[in-house]
Amino acid sequence: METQTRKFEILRYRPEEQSEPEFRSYEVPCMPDWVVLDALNAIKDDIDPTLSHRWSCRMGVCGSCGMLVNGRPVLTCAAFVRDYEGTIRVEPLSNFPIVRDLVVELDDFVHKIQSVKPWIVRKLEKDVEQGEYRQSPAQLEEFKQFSMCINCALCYAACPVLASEPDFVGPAAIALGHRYNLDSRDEGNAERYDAMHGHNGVWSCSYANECSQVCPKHVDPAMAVNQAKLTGALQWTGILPKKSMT
Amino acid sequence: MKLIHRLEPLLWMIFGAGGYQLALLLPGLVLGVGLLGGLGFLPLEYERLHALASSAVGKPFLAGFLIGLFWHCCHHLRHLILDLGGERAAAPGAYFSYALAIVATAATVQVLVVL
Amino acid sequence: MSENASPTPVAPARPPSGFPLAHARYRNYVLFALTSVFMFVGGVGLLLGVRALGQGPEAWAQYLDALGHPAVLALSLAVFGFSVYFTLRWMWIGRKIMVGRVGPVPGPPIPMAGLGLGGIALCFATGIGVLLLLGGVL
Ligand code: SF4
Ligand code: FES
Repeated sequence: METQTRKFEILRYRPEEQSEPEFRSYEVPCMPDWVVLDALNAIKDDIDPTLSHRWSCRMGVCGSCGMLVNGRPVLTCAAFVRDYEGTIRVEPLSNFPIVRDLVVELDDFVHKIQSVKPWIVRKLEKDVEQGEYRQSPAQLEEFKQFSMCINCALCYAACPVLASEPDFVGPAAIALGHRYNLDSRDEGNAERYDAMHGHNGVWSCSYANECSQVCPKHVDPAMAVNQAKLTGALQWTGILPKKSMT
Repeated sequence: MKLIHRLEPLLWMIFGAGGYQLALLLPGLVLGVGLLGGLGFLPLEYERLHALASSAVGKPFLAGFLIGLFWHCCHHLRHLILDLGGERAAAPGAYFSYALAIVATAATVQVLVVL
Repeated sequence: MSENASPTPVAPARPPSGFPLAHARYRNYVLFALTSVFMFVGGVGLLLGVRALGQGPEAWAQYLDALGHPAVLALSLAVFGFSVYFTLRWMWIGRKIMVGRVGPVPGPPIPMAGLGLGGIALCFATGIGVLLLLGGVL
């Protein structure tokens, strides 16, 4: 197959040498079936071994290769070079501090995900002998979409609210909390209430819908956040009980 | 700001209810009164409209619609100020927006009382 | 984001690329937020009309005169445009909230696009209703 030389502009930041991130250009011979991640790997292997970036699965399931390509948050392993015209600009995810080059610090993201207790909470755990918690296909359908998240953080990079309210718990965390609230086996709704409906919770969202535009797994976090607003508001008035939603 | 945070669910519900009212009615009202009325294409007779507006249905309806409109817009304005102004603008933007809503509510009540 | 618990030296977070105006998707969002300003103005205009109704026929005639002024007409046109845009986006993205999620069994799946288009059609119908009411047909 014929290679085609493409120009990449990559935001570089090496704290020991640079005080601020800066763009650097690279000419990369690309195969026609390459994704942006292939080009980054080619730069690292053949042109500039100092480049740092994260990746693992190369098939859109691990969620570690998220970056901005021409300003849009994407999984670089799913972004074909041939779909872009002219120079391709690659930056680390917005709304996250940059550790090095295209690598961002995700600690805050992880803490936010944890804050909504994304696991099944039970008042009393059943003994193993008592068997599994049963669930009908219809009950599974209720939350299945919201369970597809791969924690890629693209939605956080896209969210304009997070830029002005950094403590907003954010789309993926709320979608995940909502997923457990809708799970027929779960009883942890009241324990998630503060994280999801407190001061940094759903009310910060102004329904920009950006998270849902960029989500590679069609989780539609904006839908989860805004359904959670309705549920939370009804619980606040007392019309809906806080315990078990489903 | 503490109080505002505590009332967040209420503010959102008013915003939501106001939004549906606006979506259903505002385009028609602006088209009918502002554009067709202003151009003289629609006969907006005083007697009929006054009777309509001051009736037992008209007054509470106007109160709900206008107050809902103002609170909806002011809540959205608060978010706009935050988006454009950043974190610094959060508290002043919220105070300004809801103060505006309170003033508009008072004006609406005053107008409707004398209607 | 806000504070960094870890000692790793980092460069500060950058805002979303192209916010607020460089990308169409963000522009739509800002435009939607701007509807609040124009619809507020529209509300004030309607409130002035109600006040004129309360003050008598002369005040009402003056109000109608003022509405006919070219500058006011231009403003009305802008308010109308923004309110139509508002209605479309509100019903379209709002359809995702209008899902019954109370009770043990989920309701029948409602086609999302149908819900949004149905909402827009409903708004269109009530708009016609408002016009008929104002014009004295109803
Ligand atoms: S909700 Fe979507 S965009 Fe957000 S972290 Fe999960 S998979 Fe990524
Ligand atoms: S490398 Fe795993 S999602 Fe891209």
